[in-house]
Amino acid sequence: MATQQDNWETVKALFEAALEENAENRSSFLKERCADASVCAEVERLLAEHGEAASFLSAGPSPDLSPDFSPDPADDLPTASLSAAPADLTARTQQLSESQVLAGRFRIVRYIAGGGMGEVYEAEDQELRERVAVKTIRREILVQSNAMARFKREVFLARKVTHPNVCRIFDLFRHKPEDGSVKEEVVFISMELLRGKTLAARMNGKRMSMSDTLPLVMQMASALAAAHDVGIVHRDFKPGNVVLVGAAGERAVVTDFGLALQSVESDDGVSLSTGQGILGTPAYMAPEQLEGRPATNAADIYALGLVIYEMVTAERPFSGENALAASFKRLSEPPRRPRDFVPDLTPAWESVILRCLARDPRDRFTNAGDVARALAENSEQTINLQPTVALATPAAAKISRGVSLPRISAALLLVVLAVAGVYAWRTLHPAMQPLVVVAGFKNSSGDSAYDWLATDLSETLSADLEAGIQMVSTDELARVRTEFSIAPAQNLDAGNVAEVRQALGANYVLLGSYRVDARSPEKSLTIDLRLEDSTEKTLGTFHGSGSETDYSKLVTEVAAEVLGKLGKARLPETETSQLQNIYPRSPEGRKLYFEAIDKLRSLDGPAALELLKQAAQREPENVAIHSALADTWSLLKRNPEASVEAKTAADLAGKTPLPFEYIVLARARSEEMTQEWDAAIKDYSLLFPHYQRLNYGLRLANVEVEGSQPKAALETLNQLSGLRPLMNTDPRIEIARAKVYATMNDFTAELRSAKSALSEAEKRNARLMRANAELELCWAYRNLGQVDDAIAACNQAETLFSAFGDNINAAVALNDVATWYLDRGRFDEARQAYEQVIKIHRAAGAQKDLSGANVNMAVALVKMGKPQEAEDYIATALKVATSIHDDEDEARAHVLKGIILSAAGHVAEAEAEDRKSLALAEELGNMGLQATALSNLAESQAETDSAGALAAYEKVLKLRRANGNLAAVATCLFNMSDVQYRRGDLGGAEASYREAMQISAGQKDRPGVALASMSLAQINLERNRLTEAERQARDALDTLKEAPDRDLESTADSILLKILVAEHKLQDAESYANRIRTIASQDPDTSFENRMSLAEYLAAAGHKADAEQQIRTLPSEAKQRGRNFEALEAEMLQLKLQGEKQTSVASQRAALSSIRKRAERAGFQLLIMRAAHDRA
Amino acid sequence: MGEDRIGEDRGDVTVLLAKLSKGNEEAASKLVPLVYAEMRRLAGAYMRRERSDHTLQPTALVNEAYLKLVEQRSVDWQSRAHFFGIAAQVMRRILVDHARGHLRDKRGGGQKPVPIDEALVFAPEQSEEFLKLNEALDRLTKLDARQGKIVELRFFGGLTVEQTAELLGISPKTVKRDWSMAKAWLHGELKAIHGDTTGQLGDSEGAV
Repeated sequence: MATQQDNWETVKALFEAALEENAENRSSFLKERCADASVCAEVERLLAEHGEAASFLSAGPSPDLSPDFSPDPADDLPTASLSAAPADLTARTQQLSESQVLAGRFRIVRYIAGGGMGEVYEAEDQELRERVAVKTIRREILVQSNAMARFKREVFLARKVTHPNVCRIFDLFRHKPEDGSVKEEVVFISMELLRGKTLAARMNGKRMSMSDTLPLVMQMASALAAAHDVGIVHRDFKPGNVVLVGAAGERAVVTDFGLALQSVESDDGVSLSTGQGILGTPAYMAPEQLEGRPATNAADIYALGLVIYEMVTAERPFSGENALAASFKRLSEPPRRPRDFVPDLTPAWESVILRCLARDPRDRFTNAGDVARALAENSEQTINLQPTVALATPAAAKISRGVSLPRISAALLLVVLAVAGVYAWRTLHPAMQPLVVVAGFKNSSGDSAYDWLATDLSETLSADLEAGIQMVSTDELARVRTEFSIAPAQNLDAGNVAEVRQALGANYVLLGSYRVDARSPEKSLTIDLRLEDSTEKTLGTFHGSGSETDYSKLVTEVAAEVLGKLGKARLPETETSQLQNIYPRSPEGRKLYFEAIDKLRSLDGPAALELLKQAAQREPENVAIHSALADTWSLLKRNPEASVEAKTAADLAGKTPLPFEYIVLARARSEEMTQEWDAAIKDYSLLFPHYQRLNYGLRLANVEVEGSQPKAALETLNQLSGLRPLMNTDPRIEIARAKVYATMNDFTAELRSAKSALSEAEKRNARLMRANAELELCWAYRNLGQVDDAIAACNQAETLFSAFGDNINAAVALNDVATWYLDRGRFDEARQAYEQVIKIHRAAGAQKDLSGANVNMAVALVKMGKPQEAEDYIATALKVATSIHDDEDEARAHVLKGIILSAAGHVAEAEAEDRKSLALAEELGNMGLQATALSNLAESQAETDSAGALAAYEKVLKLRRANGNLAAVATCLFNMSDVQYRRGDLGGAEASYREAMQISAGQKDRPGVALASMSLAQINLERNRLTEAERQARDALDTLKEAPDRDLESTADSILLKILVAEHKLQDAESYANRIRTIASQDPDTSFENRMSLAEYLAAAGHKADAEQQIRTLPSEAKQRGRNFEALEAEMLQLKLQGEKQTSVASQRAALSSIRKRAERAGFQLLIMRAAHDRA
Repeated sequence: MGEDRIGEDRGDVTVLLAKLSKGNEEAASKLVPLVYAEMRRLAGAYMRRERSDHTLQPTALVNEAYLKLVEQRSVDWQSRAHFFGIAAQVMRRILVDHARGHLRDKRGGGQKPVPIDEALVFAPEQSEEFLKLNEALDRLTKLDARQGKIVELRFFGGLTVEQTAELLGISPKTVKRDWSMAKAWLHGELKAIHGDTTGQLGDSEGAV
């Protein structure tokens, strides 16, 4: 267009301005602005193109396009409707009119369809500026009892289904008529707007070929299975509820999930269908539904069978004069055989369809996915199906992350999509892709010297096939074997192969056997392989033989044959030679390596290590050996050694011609072990989601969490739901999610995920995963402060791990149990558990855990009042932690050392330790440790600078509150209120004590409640509210009767004694004084406060000399211990006692003023207040 | 030997990207051939693998090029964006080469197809269409250089709106607006070419 250049800027400006307008206003908008007719025409033309170009250059779900682009909000050229319905059925109501706005948000654009449930409109969501479908619900339905509640539940459930073949449900709304535009309240659901025609319209009374039918059935089945997984039954599945979208209608989307519930339960003959169904006659209902029994998944499978029947035959299996009569036939007669109508249909298809239509729900397929699988497997095109289904895999649709590579990769996929059309992108839905497991090789030569070959053959065959087809990884198979307690040497047989196959979600199994002729000079090897499908039908057998030197070539040959059978091309030479670079080359190296792998998988670290070291000597340049070494060290929790080996493996991988995947994996593993998180994230992002492997996704999520990107980790885990069924609900996903939530301090979510992991693991009878889930559950409970539940879960985990002989993980669980005991003050149990933990870790040489357990043991001992014993453990912990650069344990050891030093009165040294730990904690960004160190520092500070201490405690409190650990919040509140009390802020102290009390009560922490109660008593004593004070002190003692704690009891005694003295109840006081005296005689280190209250009592009882004797050395003792407050307090008491002995007023004044000065300096206003009070 | 070369390139590319980030435009002209050579080499090697999954190749292609050519640890965001900007140009060129190769092949033009043959980037029947898109994009670039660049970056380089905005130093909103119009215009052009016979070829150079 010649004028394009000249007008470009004008056209551009107008085009952009017009786009800002609503679609229907654009034309009038243009008329107003357009001066030049040709410009106007050009803008109009571009606007029209714009409408059609919505998906142009960005076809398919495009994660990196902002919502503004896909779908284009300005696109107002719907090509077809949702749930299209014949006009005559729907003309009757039409409740809403165009441009009307519902719920202040949805502007009705046009009427689409109506039916039994209500009506469907296209609407613009003005909030999010996108088009949605709005489905109203008829009043007749709503008036049924509980209808609203049931609807809410359904919407709630339906929202959980995010599946490419399920129409998304957004929300349920009520529109209250205010403007009078609608007579009655409108209840409606907002959902994804689909543009396409329904399957009913597509069939249009004509038969479809098997090859056209299959891809659609696969998608519909996958949609039903996804809904069934979250507990939704469709209840009204039929061709009218399937919308075919996409350029060629290749994507089938099932709509109206679960929404038919209300209709089903009504007896009033309301239509059960929204579309072309016949009023009052549910054409696609299962017999049991017709009988009024509740619909289950089996009812949907029946309906699916009917739909498939109709697709391939264009007939219905039950015919009658009318639909009602046909329905009755369904109850009493077997269906007509589809091959009666279509003789070309294969018998296999017919039997699948008829199985769906079984009268008894129990005789049908149990899983919708099985229907499609059975059809696919019985289709001639089994594996060659790729070209017929055009469907973006969910994984591709969900990629989205920052600037990093995956996003760019995703966009590159779009190049393929856009340029190559759908051809290059055609792939099966993940559920239908073949997944093959090499179930193992039986050594039939009877010579056990060649047992290792079984592992070798499984590994190499899997690796070779992997390059052409999706395989179950050998590690995953090993895990499942462990789950089912199948010994490494035991061969899978008919008895357990089905179990294993199902647990892995595989649909093809390769079973092999081999024979070595040791006598022949070249040690000839013969392999036999059998390929069977999920119905245990043998699809093919393979045979090969060769000599020892070319075992791997032999495997390659057999692999090529298997691939051929599965419809895959054989691998080119270059690639197979790359694959052969993975494993050791020499027979000796291979033997050592694969024997080691067996040991590693049975968690025998030391044995694996020995073999691998020998293997590495033979073939120092082999990647697999070094990466297995890294795994072994890692199993032994020897991280430094593991890192070195992983690094070696990565370096070697960079120099060895290997497949891309292996190179990246080796590097990612190394980066993970050396904690180079950013690099690891980048590398794992190259692997997932490009390679649809659960393991890669989990590892990516893990490094994202470690690299402080919890949100990205959650996103990665969400993408895992796009994996094939079974894999996408693997308990490990929820376990990983729980871990992410824990780092985000969302412990409720952590618990939820841990629970759902546990129930999935239980459902699968997967004990190893159950153990891991229990461990996670234990942590979640612990984080939520539910310690008893935590202990129970951890004990459970320990039992499960021990049962597998996994001592190290059992020790981890046991360590947690011990820690919870510690929390509950059950020190002896804690100590025992820790001793065992230390023993296990020392035996295994697990340095990291060893230092941690030593620290924990020291904590227990300090808490048990055995600081000397603790010191040994601290020394060990410090030594180990420093040697492995474990800053966290080092910091914790310093904290403990500080506590012990401070308890022994070495304030300055304690402070130095605290500062060391604080610095380490800050560097680590560990908030908990930071708070602990800060809190300990504050404790020392409290004696000389109470204002500073208060500020520090406020910081600690903030950290603790942010963390959500209530017990720690309470502890901080106690510490803080002590300072507030000393500073004379009785109101502040009271508030803090009260909150601490509340938390303690909530945690069922009786000693905490008692402590708070006695502290409040002390405040009331200070305020001279003696009755209340006495009650509170007695409450404290009562509480302690149920939870004995000697220290607390004696503190409470001493407070009560003071109160009673103040009340002049000397008789009552005597018994408490005696109790304190007894304690004092047994333990010369009786606390200062005990001695002071005893002195007060003695003075009041007239034994002044005894009283003075009691506290004579107290000020200097206290000072020596750095207990400044108590030193001053004692001095003041001495002065008071002396005053009664009539020393000179002047010297008394001088002494008092000195005390006051020192009290003021430290901020101890309480003492100044007391002095004033005493003088009065 | 091969390793050495890659090692060198990697250093070169990283240094050049840093220069480019600092505003040295000359660096770009040195970068393009390096990136081009590597991506072509990789394309050839890569297409022979992983037959099972058609969707992986092009993705891995650019990933791998990035991986091989750039020392990721010493590169900042800007350099990364520049790399993908250049990769976008290169990708476009490779696809054009490839499409032309296919067409020549199809017509028995005697010339051997480019190394990325038989590969999966696209099927021959799409080649013609792709080349038309490419030419339309050239015309668009003449009309509106910025829009052309945006299409190249977004479509061939896979950059997001935000990345594109940052690389070109304009606001994301502008990118969105330009992208909308560019798509509409290109859509019209392609439709005009193969949709109806009266459509004009405009100032097409008529390479095919």
